[in-house]
Amino acid sequence: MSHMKQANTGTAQTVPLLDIRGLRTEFRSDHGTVRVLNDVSLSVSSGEVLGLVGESGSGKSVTALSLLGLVPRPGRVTQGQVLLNGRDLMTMDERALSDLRGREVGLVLQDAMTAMNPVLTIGQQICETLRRHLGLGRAQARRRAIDLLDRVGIPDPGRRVDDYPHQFSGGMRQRAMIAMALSCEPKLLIADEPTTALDVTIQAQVLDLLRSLKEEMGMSLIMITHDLGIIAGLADRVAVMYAGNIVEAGPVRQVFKAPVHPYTQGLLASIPSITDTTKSDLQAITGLPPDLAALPQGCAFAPRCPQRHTRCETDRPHLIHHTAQSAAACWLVDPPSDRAPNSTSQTTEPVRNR
Amino acid sequence: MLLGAVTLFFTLTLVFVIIRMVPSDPATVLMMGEATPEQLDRLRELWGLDKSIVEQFFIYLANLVQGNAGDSYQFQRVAGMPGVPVFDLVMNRLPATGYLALVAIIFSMLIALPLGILAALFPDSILDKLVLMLASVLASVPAFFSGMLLMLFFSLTLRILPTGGYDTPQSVILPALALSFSFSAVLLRVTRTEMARIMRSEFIQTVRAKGLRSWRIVLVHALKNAMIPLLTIIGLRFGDLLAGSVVVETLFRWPGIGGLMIDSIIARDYPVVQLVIPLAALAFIIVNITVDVLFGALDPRLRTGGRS
Ligand SMILES: Nc1ncnc2c1ncn2[C@@H]1O[C@H](COP(=O)(O)OP(=O)(O)O)[C@@H](O)[C@H]1O
Ligand code: SF4
Ligand SMILES: [Mg+2]
Repeated sequence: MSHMKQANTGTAQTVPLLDIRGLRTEFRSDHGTVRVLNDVSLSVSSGEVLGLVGESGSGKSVTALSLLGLVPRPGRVTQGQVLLNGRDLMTMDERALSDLRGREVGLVLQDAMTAMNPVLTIGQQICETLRRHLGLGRAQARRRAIDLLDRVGIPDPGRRVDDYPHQFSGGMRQRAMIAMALSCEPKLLIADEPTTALDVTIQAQVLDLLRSLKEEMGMSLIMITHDLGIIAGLADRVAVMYAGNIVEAGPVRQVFKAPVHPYTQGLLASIPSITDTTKSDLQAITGLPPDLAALPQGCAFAPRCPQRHTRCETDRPHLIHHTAQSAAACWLVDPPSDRAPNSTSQTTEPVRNR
Repeated sequence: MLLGAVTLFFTLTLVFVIIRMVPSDPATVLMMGEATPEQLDRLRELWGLDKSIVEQFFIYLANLVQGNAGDSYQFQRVAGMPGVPVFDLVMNRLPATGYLALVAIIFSMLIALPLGILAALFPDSILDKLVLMLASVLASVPAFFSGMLLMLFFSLTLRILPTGGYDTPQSVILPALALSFSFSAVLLRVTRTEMARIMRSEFIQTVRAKGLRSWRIVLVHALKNAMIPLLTIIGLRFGDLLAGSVVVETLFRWPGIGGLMIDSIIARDYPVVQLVIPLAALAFIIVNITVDVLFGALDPRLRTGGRS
């Protein structure tokens, strides 16, 4: 790969907390290999909230699982680096990785009903993490678990700690999941659609909770969602995924105000409250989500892209910075001529075709 | 509970009728053709077999309700002598069968759980295929055949275990093994399927994301969930175990209910048959009630009236 030089979308000066470079994940089956992640590069600085958006099936969850070495069989990470504080997780063995999971990186999954073990109590499930990573004793762990439940707003935590997941409401389960993921005060929390299964009011409460906990603990957050509204209210930066690639990344305000990639434009156009402030000529996305097993040779978005031109069908665009903070993978993007020299590995002149 | 009672009554009735429909009657069988027709009639009269079948049934039920299951015919070869009460006969033999079944279930679990878990952890691997093959073999070999092979090997060749009987603590090993093979095949398949399914489920991903050790993920999180379907199948297939014990007890001269059942059916020993078979049904019902109770302990979702 000649384009492996990755577009650093993080804060330029500091070493990011998490730096994912060229992550590729494939699922092998009898019918062939499906490349679910093609070339995912992301970075998150300390204390930052990154929103990861994209339609269902674009690879958001697989990204989260890949970076923690949790891709289920027959999936496999075949390329790339995941640097956490400069250490490459991809070269770690399972034991070293498990020391780090739950300790340095917490993960909250979408549906807290199916994401918790139905036959163990909430308390048991929180305590085992504490005991594993912090070496707490039984009583200590229990006290800490009650504390954590209290902190995420579970009423009467001293009693509810002995409840089973099915005795909790959806919102409470999601809170408990968050408590579980935060129990060892990780530096990074990945929340994979933590509110999708919840109704709107509860959703807002859980988001508020995440926001305040993040402030309190000073951790970084990767918020995975297909809801741009959530991103607008919570994230500092946003990365947009399409068919296993990051197609656009940058500060939320900038991306929402002036989306560069036609896919991002389409996503924003489909949300009335946000399009109010953007140009009205944006078109919502039409057409079917891509079949990962049969992606076009060029740009994966080409079949649905209103701004497609001939080059798009033959050459695959790569993530290029168009400002110091923002990057997009689209042939329409002008690479800056005067800055970010590390990102101009694409020498070809992008073609405008409006 | 009600269903259990209905099942039990149905079994009682069915056994009562069927055993009387089988050709040749107890008197003829017991006297082995050495009695005059008058003597045979006297015997039948003594046992109440001269009455109509409906009358016999009500007498049987009335006695049973009072805790009297009648006296054995077999152990009353000399006409007029009091026979051995069937209850005593059966109660003497019951513990042996219960013990054998329990040890067989434990053996089955010891075979099925480790192999099933291993196979589930490496789906479609060579190990997995070998385990499934073993399950097919275990399932298809009849208990009397595996019993004879075991006897041949451990008793006659190695001479380390007795060929039968009930005298030493080791006596239970071979019959329990023979009985456990086909049962373990059932458990093995369930363990493998369920563990593989559970290991793919979302909560296992959460548990892995928490950084727990692999053994804890498998043996605590996954296995505890797999115990629920495992218990179900043990309850459902307990009847197979009882049926198998008939052959195994006979082969290994194990003094249990299974052997008694065979003997009494051959001898047309109505009172024994009429108690033993419904008792097997009762055992089946009790096992399933126990399984239901254990379910509550294993699966909190089934517990009613909990806190909150
Ligand atoms: N276990 C798996 N086996 C095969 N394909 C999978 C598996 N998990 C996910 N995929 C595929 O990977 C793609 C991305 O899935 P996912 O990351 O879950 O999407 P998202 O979270 O963005 O909705 C989908 O096309 C999905 O079919
Ligand atoms: S590269 Fe071409 S097809 Fe792809 S998004 Fe840009 S304009 Fe559309
Ligand atoms: Mg997802």
